Amino acid sequence: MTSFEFEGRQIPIELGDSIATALYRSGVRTFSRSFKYHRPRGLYCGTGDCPNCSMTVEGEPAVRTCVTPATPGLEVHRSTGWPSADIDVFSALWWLRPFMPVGFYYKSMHKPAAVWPIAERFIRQLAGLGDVPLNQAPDDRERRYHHADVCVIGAGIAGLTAALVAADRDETVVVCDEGRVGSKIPPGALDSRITASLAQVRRDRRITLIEHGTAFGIYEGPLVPIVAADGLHLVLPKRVVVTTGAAERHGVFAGNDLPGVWLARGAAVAVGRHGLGLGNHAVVVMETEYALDNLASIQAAVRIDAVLAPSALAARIPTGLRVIVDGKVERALGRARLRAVEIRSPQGVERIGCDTLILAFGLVPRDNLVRQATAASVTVAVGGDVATPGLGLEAAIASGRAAGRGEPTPLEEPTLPAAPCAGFVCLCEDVSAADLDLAWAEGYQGTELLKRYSTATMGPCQGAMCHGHLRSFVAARSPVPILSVATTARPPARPVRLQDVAAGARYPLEWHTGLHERHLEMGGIMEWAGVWKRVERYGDVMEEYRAVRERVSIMDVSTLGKYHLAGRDATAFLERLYPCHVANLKPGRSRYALLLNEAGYVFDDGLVGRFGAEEYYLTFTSSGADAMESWLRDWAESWGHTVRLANQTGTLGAINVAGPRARDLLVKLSDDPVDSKTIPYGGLARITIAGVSCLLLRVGFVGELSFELHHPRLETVKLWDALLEAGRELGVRPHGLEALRLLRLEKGHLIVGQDTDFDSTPAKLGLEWAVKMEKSEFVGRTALLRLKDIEPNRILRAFTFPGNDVPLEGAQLLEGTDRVGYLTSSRYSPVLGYGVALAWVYRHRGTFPTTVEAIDGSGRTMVGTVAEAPFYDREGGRLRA
Amino acid sequence: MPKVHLRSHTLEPSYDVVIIGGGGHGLATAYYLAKEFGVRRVVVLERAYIGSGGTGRNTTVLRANYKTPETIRFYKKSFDLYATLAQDLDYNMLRSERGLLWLAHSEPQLRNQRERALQNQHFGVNTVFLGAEQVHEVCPQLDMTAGSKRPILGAAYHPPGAIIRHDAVAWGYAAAAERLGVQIHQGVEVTGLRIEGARCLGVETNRGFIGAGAVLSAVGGYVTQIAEMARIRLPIVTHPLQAFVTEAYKPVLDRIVASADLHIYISQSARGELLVGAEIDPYSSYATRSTFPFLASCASRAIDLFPFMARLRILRQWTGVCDMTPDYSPLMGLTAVDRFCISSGWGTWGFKAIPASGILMAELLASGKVPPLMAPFALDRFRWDRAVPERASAGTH
Repeated sequence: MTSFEFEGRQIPIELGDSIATALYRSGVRTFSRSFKYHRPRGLYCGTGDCPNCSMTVEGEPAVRTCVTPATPGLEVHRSTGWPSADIDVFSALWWLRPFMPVGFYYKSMHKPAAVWPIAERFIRQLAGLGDVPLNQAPDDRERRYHHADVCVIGAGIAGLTAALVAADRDETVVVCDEGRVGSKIPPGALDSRITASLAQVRRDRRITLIEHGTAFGIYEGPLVPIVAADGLHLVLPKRVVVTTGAAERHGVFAGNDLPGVWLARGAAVAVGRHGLGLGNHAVVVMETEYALDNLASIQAAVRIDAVLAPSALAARIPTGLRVIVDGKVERALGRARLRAVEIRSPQGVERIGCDTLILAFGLVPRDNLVRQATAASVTVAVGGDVATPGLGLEAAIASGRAAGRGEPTPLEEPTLPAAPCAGFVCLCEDVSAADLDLAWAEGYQGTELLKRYSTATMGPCQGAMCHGHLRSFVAARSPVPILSVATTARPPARPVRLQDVAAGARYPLEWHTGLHERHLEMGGIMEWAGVWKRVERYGDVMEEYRAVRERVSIMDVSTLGKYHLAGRDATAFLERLYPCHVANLKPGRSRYALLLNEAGYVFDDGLVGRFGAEEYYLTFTSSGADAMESWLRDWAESWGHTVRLANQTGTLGAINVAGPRARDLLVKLSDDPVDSKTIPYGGLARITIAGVSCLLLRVGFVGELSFELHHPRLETVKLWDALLEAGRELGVRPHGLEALRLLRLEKGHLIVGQDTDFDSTPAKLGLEWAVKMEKSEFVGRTALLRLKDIEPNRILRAFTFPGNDVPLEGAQLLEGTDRVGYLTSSRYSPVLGYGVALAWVYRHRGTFPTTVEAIDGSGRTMVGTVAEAPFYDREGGRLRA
Repeated sequence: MPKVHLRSHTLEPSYDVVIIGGGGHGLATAYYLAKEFGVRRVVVLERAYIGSGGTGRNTTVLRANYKTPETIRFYKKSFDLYATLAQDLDYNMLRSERGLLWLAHSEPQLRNQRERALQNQHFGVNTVFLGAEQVHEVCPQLDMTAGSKRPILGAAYHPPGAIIRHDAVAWGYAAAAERLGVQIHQGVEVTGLRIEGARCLGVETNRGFIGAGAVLSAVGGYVTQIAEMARIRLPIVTHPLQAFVTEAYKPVLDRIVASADLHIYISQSARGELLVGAEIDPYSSYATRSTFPFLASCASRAIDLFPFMARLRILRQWTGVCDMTPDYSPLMGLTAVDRFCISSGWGTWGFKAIPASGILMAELLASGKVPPLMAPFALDRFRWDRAVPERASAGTH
């Protein structure tokens, strides 16, 4: 015999058991303690709709055990109640309820102010469904897609019928059920029909059946996500059929939450399928016709002392049972368990001793998914109990057929129960009818306010039990129909684990250049740059820096945005896009270009290089690389320009060769001329280096003679290795981002994003030279014209800090006690012997500060003086060499 | 007899001030008008129910750690008002100081967070810059490798960062305002503004015309439509913003954790639910439909930061709408139409701004003069190149 562990003892498992049925058979009656008052709660719905049977299973809190199959070796315990769920000292809270009515925490504990933080700690400890396991690693779960014609949610008789009908029309079908098909149905005629239809469904290759698969939402699309044991199924059907059935209606009267009170279907399944004994004496409430079928099986398991039924049904109660015509449960009595019920009937009030009370008040459609679909503008076909609760077997089959054919079924507005007067309306949150009364009297009128204030319908069952009662409560008190409308149905329809939802979405988004493996081999320390991984350094940053300034160095700059643009209107297009001149650019030359948006703000920069009359090569920053494609295409489209654009960011590698010996290195590897006359500063050429055909851009970001070699990604390793090999005698070594940051800063070059802000105009950045206002049109020109007479209130400026004490980036700049700016870039410059920085400074007392005190959290105060950039090689002789 | 928080009233033909929108901003303005400025013939008109917009949909974080001087000063005032609000309004809003960690997983974010911390300190806001080890000490539950994807390099830590029960803020202001004679009408929809000679005389509603000495639009989400009634074009684009909440668990997370690189923030409420929010959706819409891609990707990022969340259960997801301005700072103050003011463009931070926005707006409506703390957020600031750039940028070359 197999078993699982429950709070230190072994619980035997019988065939078909859920955790809850196995526990019940072993004598467990208190399954959980309630949220607010720590009341004992027993098995109630048996269909996964209410919160009562929630326990911690395998360390996972709040698992509904009545719909979780019992499997050998599980570890199960109750996580509510202290010291145990059976004997819970906090159940004393029930007697304190006069002091903690609905919303009591809004009305107390805030005066004096010091009380609340202490009270809050206590409340936090008391609340919550269970301890969170801190040391369980997430499971990696799979995601798969189904592009079926039809998605049927709920495999009861209506759902199975709908699936078969759709398949007969040669449609592909995914049909799911949150449990094992039929497991919530007591044995009987319906059960047999389900078994027969299920066999047919299993044989049909057009139908995919997902058991234990919870469809928790219907999203726009439609998209139906189904959480199943083998991962997440995302169904993208042409149409959706919802046959989620109905739950037994929750009964609201005093004492309605006592263990021993059952909803009829749960009780029938418990005795019919699992052979559980319910107790010794039962009272049955039979207000609905459909549940008559269950009476016989219940009668076999427990002695029924009385049946309360309306006169219309009384005649159909089997003979031999005592019927109390028109009897109503006034209240259920007992402390930890049901002991008696008080019944009011036309004959008066009567108390009957019993340990079991079975409620059949009718059915409530499980319509959360249907209401979600409405909110997402998805039309669904509905069938079975969810469309017409309690419609009976033949009608359910007929409506399943209609739904399978896609015929729209008018969804009936569900009938509301009688307005609750006493007892727990909301089991999840312990909200009683008296609580709703008080909230209403305080002014929280209407379903939404009442819901939010009382928290009724906001617990784990999401209103499955109490939504109708809440509405009927409001409807009975308010003449304004708008106030009693249904609250919004929100996904998920059933609580789902984060890892199930995240299935297939937990991949890292990490891009690598063609040299990534090489960098790792060479000891490169990588850092994140947007979605890319780039080398921060290989070892000693100063060595890398000196290689650039004194000898020659290479850097992987493959992440730069790289575009090839050609076409009839290429020149006209770029002339209109960029604030610099493009038309006068000679073929074989490139120039620095800013990117402005319509507000005249700089949002990217790069180079524009010209190959021929209407053929260009454009580069952008790494972070702007991808956004630029839609920017370019958008403008070309709106101007009606004919241009062809190829985003080559990923297909081309790029290596920057920089340093005074850079040319010497290229000469060793190329037969093509690379002298300053053939390729001057700003030059653009196609040459072959180490057998790799390269596009060469002579650029100056680091302030030395440098050549960017753009080349096919597949040959990037070959080129890199060749450069290192040939450069060995020149003292070549690669450099990373950290060296680059220092090199460019010495030249005073800004990095868009780091040194710019959202509203940085070229004027604020000191880059007016890159904007040709004399051009008749370019993006941002109108805005810049409007702004040209407005004094900026802040500008980017260069500063120097004496000695080697340089404030950190982000340091605040002060003049006296006033904040006058902050540093965006700063480094100590070895070649200059002092600190160099870029900073935003504010207009202060009519002028921009020239001497500032910087503080960076280190406790030092450093004095900086405004300077002219570039700091290094002002004349630019080195990069033009 | 229970103490009545919210009453019903008969709608009067005119009021001194008509406030459109019964969210936190509208209710707070009404309260401060009555409380601080003695203007009591005030009505708040709410189309649905009070707090039904952003006030009841946000993720309830209170903080003052902003990144421009104007905004830091403004939110500091708001933060300070929040600190004593429960006592001022006699309504416990369950405010809870938790400490807010603003994580950096990249070099640019490290720099941004250091700047944020230093600037905050300068303006008297308690924010400190922490290295990775200190982050771990402050919040040991964090996976410092972020699921082996984006190691946490440091953070700006804002110890006073707090959470509060959002609905209670609306209810607390509403109840306190009612006690001072303010009327709140739910289910009243404004359909037009009556404007004569560039002066606003009142509002047209589904319940008829209501005259007003002054009108304030404290509408969220649909403000561009209200402004259009006055022929005012606002530089606002409305985007959805989504969030989700788990079932309630025993205390497992004290801190509020936000990550700019992962676009996520997480906190645990007093009841025990873990509340998870994200960045705005990339498209503009008024729809409050929830999406699955959001849920999947946000759940994934939550697990990256807190692996223990993998087996927790999502109870509910929902969507609000945010009015985004170009610089992500609000638009507040006078408009080209006399006696018609706007409080809008609150982006993703409107909830934190409620008390300051309320008291400053009340001052404006009562005095006709723009209070200094509000002045930087004038509607025409973009014309004068005086944006207040709260929009963060992080670049790489």
